[in-house]
Amino acid sequence: MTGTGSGDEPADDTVTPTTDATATSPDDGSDLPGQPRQRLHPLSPVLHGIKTLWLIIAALSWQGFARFGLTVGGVIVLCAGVLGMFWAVLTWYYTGYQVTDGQLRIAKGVLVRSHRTIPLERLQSIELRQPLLARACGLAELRMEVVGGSGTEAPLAFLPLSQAERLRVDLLALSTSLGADINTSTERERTPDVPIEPAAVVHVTPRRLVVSQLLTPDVLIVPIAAAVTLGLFLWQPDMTFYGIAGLVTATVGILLRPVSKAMSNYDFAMRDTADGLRITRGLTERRSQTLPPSRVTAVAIRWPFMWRRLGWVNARVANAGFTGQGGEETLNGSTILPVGTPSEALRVARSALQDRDMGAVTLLPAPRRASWCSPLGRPALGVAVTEDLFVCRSGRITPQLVAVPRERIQSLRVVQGRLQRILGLATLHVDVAGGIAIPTRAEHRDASEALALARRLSRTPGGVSAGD
Amino acid sequence: MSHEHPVWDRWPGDVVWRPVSPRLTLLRVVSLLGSGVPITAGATALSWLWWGSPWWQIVGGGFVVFLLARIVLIRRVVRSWGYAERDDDLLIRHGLWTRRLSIVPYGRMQFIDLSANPLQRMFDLSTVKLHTASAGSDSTVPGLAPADAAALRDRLAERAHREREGL
Repeated sequence: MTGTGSGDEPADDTVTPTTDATATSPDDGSDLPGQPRQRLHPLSPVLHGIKTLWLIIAALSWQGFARFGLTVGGVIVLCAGVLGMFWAVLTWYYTGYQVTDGQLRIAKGVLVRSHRTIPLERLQSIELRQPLLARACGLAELRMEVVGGSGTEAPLAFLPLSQAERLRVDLLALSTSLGADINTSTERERTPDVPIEPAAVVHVTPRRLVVSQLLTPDVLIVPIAAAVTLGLFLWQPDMTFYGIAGLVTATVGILLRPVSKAMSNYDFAMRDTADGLRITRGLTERRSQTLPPSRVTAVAIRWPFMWRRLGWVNARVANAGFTGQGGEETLNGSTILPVGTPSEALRVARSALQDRDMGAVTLLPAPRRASWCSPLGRPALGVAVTEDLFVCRSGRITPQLVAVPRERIQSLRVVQGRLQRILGLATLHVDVAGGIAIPTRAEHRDASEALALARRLSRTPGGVSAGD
Repeated sequence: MSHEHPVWDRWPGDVVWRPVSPRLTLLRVVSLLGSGVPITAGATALSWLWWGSPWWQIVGGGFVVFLLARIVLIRRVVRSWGYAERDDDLLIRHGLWTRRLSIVPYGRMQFIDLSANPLQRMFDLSTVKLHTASAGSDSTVPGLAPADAAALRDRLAERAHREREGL
């Protein structure tokens, strides 16, 4: 059932009306020779249907049930559920994917049919997700990040776990071999079906994860909020129930973020596999992301203020694909270490930077007069340029050490404000793809030094194969 | 060496800066007046309605002085714009208060925009904007004569094609 050939495809569009002028039936001859078109797992419409069912129940809410009565409400939910399920089956029927010619083609859409072609050499990372229900059924969702994509391109939900894993290995192998040499990919032998898992570069214990999430500003607000609630209640006993309920809800809302972070990063492990960095994590929803190091544009290690006494840090990487749906990942890159010791972070960074050590460089401090521009942060400022890395540090309260592989630098900017001009200082910005909130800049350098650095960095080290 | 020099003056070597069209000054003055005059009038009228006599003269006068200062500065701002095509990268400089110098290697250009809004078309000017894979890149050359802009675009496109590198 997973390897449905093109012979089983529906013959024409009589099943559903098509509104699109360019509508084509699934068997429209657009399939390229090569691998036959594959179907998603037949259980996927059921899983999607259950998801819509929850949505409907949530939309009705308790008030809706109260108004219609339990029977009518139940009937509404049942009807909507049947409709949703019918739609999910139709969607599943018209969805198919195919790997040919260095491309992944995904056909989908019931009313408006679309064929999306993803050139694999543009692949940034692949994530394999297993939400709770899918995990119980042994299914997985495959998500791909592509350069310039506004979000995840065409998730494949759901595939049997083994098939999803094999497809991931195949796609990543194709993507890297395409980057290197297109001719080799055609004669490439198939990768073994069960890849050997190497030992984890880093593994985060649940205890450390929970402690680290307890030590976030969000959690520290909770006692204050509780005290305020209690104080208000004592001071003004006639406060309405809704006022107190609102405050309690707000407190719970604050707690939600660290809890969800701890849940999603539970049992976090990173491995250095042949296809790239393999990150597995999650308590209820297991996720397994593969990030080819050749796509990493920046690595940032942060020393959060609250963790300083414990000496913990976290590490993130940026890449050109938009990772996940969250705005945070787009801004700060994806986590490669939620919490760990500095030596662990450097080890992880080393894997992400293709064996370049960002901890081994000696940072040049900013000149003394930079204190006029940045009185608090000046001692933390530092920059270093090696043969293949640009490393900078900034932040006194939350220090960040950022490394950029030099061949990933997109453009450089030397910016000099009015005060900086009087002091003969300038800031060098290094622009990379993705991770817009990561401070990839050398702040308050001597103006001539900033220019010299810019000149040095603008000459990309030779012999670098860009990969795509 | 005086620190008062703009940062790009210290760029060593032989960089030939090409200026943008002086017509950009006029365009910027017009667009500044377009937004500045109604705001000045509005603020003056409001202060006359609310506070009455000496205040509306002060507010109005303040706005007018500010507008005039901006107009005087526009010429220098436009003169600060410049671009230089070097062997393997494009330099763009601008800014009076905050000096900015952008360096974009040709191999990193993803695509190039050539655009002109109605006001720019009135003054026969266009803007060339380079895009790299990074959202942070700041690389716009405003106020070029359409022929110059198109020629620059073609030269850049040709060089980018020759030095195509990935991400």
